[in-house]
Amino acid sequence: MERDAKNTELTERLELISSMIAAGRRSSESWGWTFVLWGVAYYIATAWAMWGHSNLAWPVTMISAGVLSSVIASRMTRGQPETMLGRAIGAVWASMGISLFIVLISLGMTGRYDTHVFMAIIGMMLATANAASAIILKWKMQFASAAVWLGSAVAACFGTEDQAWIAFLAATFFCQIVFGVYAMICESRRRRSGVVHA
Amino acid sequence: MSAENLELTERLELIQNMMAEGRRSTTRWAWTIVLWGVAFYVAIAWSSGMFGGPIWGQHYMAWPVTMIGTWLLTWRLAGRMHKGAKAPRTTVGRAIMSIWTAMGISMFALLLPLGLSGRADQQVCVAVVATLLGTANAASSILIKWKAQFACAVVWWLASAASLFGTVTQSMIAFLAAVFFCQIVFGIYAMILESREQRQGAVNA
Repeated sequence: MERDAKNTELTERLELISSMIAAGRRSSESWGWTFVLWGVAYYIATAWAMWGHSNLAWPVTMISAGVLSSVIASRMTRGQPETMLGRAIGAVWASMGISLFIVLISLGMTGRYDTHVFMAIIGMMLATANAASAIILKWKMQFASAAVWLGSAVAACFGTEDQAWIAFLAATFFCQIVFGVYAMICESRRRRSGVVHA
Repeated sequence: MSAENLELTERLELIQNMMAEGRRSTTRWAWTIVLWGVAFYVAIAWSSGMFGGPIWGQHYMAWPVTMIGTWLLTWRLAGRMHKGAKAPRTTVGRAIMSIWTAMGISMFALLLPLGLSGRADQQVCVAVVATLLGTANAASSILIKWKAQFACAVVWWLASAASLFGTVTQSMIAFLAAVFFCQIVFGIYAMILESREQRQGAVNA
């Protein structure tokens, strides 16, 4: 009798966790636009730095993308109830952003700019955030993104400068643009099916 | 009170309970924080030639051997803890574990290539390690709203910046100080909190 009650409680708990993970994945899909936005921002910064030969390219583009993301995000989250998994994923990406800002600014200001090290650190930090979110949400596609970022970080260590750039641009394409568009498609499909069911 | 307000209050209470549970589960794992702090000290002492001998005198082996050894030890002890655990895993516990696992994978996957390719000097390596530990501590502390852990994240970020702005010696001092405050002191503090809670639980039972 007691064992049955325990089993029922465990099953209910597992069901609750599964439904929370599903809700977390749905809320992640609704943030697909941020992946695309940051992917485009990386491309703009790269193009500006390469052809404009400007040291301001990366700081200006990244700060603008950060401000734009936070303005749109605050509008999106206004009036929406907070979930625990949403908090967890938000915490991961916010911490990653602060860390990346501190280490890249420090590297730049101390004159330690080296394409290989920069690309390796960016790849590693994005891999960490993607991997953490993917493990939390049990989302294989996002874990694949983490693996691609990590691969680009390792390639930046061993390859030439051109190869490091190619690896970074390819990882941006697959993990920001393709993955972001995929998440947006998933969300619009879900919305459409929600409208049909309603 | 309207039904909507009641639901919101219940939801808030549930989130607060989950955060408290997450903090309790972090204190249960405090021994790992101290263990890794000691492992960092052992690796630094070994790699700087403070101990060793005919067999263990290979200083370049210090970091890989100590880190892999500590990881295996943590894994074994954590496995025993899981077996003996009375409470099932929680969502917040899962999230915190995911953050630290992702950090571990990235650190292992990047530091080895950085070292092998000779792209990064000691100061950059210290900055990378400190940045990753700062990220994981910050993410966990924001999730469970724990100010002491967020202070650890700030110390790691400062150590990362200090490592790049200072000399090699200053970088090492910053790292050693951060390990002391964020691993040893914070780990012992969390262990004290856990033992207090256990004692209170025993008294209440």
